Amino acid sequence: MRRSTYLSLIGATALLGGAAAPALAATCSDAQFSQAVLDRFPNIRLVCSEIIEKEGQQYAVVKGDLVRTGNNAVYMKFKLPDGTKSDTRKIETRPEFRVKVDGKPTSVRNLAVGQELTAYVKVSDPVIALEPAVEESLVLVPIEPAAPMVAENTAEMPHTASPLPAVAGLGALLLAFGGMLTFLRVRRES
Amino acid sequence: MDHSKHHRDDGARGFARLLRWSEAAAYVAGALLCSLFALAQADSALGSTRALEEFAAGLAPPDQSQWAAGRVRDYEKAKHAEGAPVAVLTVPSLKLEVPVFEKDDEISLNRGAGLVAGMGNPDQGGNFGVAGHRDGYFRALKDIKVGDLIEVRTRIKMHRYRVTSIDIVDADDKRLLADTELPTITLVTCYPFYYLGNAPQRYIVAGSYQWSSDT
Repeated sequence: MRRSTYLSLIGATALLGGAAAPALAATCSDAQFSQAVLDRFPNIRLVCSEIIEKEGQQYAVVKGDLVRTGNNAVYMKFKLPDGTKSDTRKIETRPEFRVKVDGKPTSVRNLAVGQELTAYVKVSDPVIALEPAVEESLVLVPIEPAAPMVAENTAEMPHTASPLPAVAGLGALLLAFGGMLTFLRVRRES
Repeated sequence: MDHSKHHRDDGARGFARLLRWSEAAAYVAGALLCSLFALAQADSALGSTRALEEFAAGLAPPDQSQWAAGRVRDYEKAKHAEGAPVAVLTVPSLKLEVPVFEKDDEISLNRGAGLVAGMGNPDQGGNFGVAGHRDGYFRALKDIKVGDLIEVRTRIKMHRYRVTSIDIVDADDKRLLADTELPTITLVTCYPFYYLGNAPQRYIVAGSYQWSSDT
């Protein structure tokens, strides 16, 4: 009787404790990414550093290096746990949109390759947003398939031969020629 | 008899006059060309020094708290004015420091190096090309080695590259100027380094980007 009372008390405490404890926050490994997200971003669990909640939605935080800017988009490579980098991902944005670089608000038009940026991937939908510099609604854009950005080669080989040595050489030759003529003239006149 | 002597004297005098004129013309033209060379050399030295100073001053802007709004605008405009350097390229192993201008025209290359038209730029990524004269700042590249560090300081960021290859190609071979997915640098100058006239080849130094996490 006494033993069963103890057991009941322990059971009741456990139940009450379980109900009162806050739900454990999701982690990158157990977040319920939708199939659409996993299809578009297969290594999302590997590049995810934490799961946060914003406006009632879960987002995976991904950090990466900027590899290219331009045409209202940034191109990023995300960091993998082994130190390597993911495929290149394009994120559409606006030149005046401000992100945080080293803790300072910086507009997209003033970004430079090599800078570390943070982005949020929505757990339930295949959309991504750059972390804004100030607290504001996220600008979500569809996650695009990984695609390296390479422009067409329009460069011409530059002309790196300076005409100056030739100019100096010709000038010296002309001075020497003048000197020779002077010599001839003086000899002729004497 | 006197008539032919008179003719001979006339001919001799004409020849002497021609000689004198040729002599004067040679001196004037020679002096002009040598002066042009001297001026270009002075412009190269002074222009490069001034460009490096301007760039350094732009990195550490003066205290503008007391300035009028118009003056601040003018200052910002001057920073991005045509002819202002867009970056400074340094190769520590060669003790080379050269301003990089937006264009690869003759004046820019006389004062430093220039961005190759049609290629990327250091802040935006891709393959970014820098051209320089083989008889000027870029003659030092003859001693560069694979693994050497190249630094490019822009107004936004210091970029570091590691030399990955050195190639000698024909002057019309543009393959090494093609865009790349990751940021890379391509330095271009004429080859051979000592050559009279238009050199038939190009000396190409390529470098890969060093991420801050790279050791």
